[in-house]
Amino acid sequence: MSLEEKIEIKEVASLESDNPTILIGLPDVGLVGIVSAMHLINILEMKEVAYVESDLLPPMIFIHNGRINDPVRVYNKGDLVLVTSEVPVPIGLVKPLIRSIIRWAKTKNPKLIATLGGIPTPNREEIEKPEIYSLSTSEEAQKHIEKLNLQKLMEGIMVGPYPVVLREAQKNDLPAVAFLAQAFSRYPDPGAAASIIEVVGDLLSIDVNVDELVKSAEEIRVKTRDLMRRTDRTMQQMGKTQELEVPAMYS
Amino acid sequence: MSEKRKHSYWEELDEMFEEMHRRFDRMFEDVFRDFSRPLMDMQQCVLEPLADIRETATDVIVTIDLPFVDKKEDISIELLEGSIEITAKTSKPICFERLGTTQRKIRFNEFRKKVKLPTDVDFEGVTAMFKKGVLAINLPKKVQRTRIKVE
Repeated sequence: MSLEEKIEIKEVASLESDNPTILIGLPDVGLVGIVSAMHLINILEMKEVAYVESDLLPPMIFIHNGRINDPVRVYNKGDLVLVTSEVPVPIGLVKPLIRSIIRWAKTKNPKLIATLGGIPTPNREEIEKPEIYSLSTSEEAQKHIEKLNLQKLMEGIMVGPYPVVLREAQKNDLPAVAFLAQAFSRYPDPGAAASIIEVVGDLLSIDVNVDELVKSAEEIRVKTRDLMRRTDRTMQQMGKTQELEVPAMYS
Repeated sequence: MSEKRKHSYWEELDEMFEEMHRRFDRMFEDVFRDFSRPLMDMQQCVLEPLADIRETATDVIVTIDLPFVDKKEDISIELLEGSIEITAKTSKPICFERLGTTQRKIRFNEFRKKVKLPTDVDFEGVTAMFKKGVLAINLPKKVQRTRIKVE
């Protein structure tokens, strides 16, 4: 039995859309993915529609308002689906977990899959409003984000769950993009999350207010320190620092 | 002459191994400290901030994330033998309503962090900058330079 077969996405409710945009926000650089995911879930009042069940995940639950939650969950509201995790994905689980998510996503006929992440940026404290970079898997995917006028990532190395999302989506003929906000690498960065949420709002032509996120930025920075530390450890195991290197073959 | 060179060579090797041991010790201490407890001291109501240490050829750069710290006057940096200790008072109490499994309400007023330095530094040239809640401390490395003639 392969590791992938040991991972199951259990649906607890039907999706409200038959052609959704699927966002993936996981703990990564500056916790941009998880912080933006949490804000979107709260502000859009998204409902949990599925969770990931696997013996390979850490034996833990998250308790919110007295309710039991699995670490990796899927939310939905209208045409928007959001996959998020409250634990950093362990290195050995990255590929099988992402393959399972993409296989599940394919059954939902997605319009676009988009990852919400950060790009480690030296002197981040000098930057007032972080810029968002993008990377598309195909011309079709690029067409979806053309109107956003984002800088394209032309050269470099990506490490972690998001490059696996792009590659697996590409192999499955699903249009996918990575959104990457300039961010602190090793500190939670709610400012970078706010920038990426604005791009998501423009992509979906919906108004997503980030005032509350900006206002509670310091509180988020305090309360996500432990998750950031664990994520940092996982990123180091994956060789995340290679993202600052120049690839050996370049055009 | 050759005896003297041999002696200095073994001394250098000893120093190198000692430095390696010191680095390994620090690494293991960090690993165990990291995963043995959360980033807070509930007894003393002190939070541990996230910190990053980088090295360039000439400097050690320590940065510390200090949310809720508004003024540079509220930050104290102490230089110790082989480490630095940073203390910072928050502008208002940071309150956790139901903390962890004890579900206790607890307030924190201060960040405190001791950072072990990877190498000897020159305390005379240390500078610090606090910008947008991030403290950056620049510590010049103590280097002994000897010019070698190429033959």
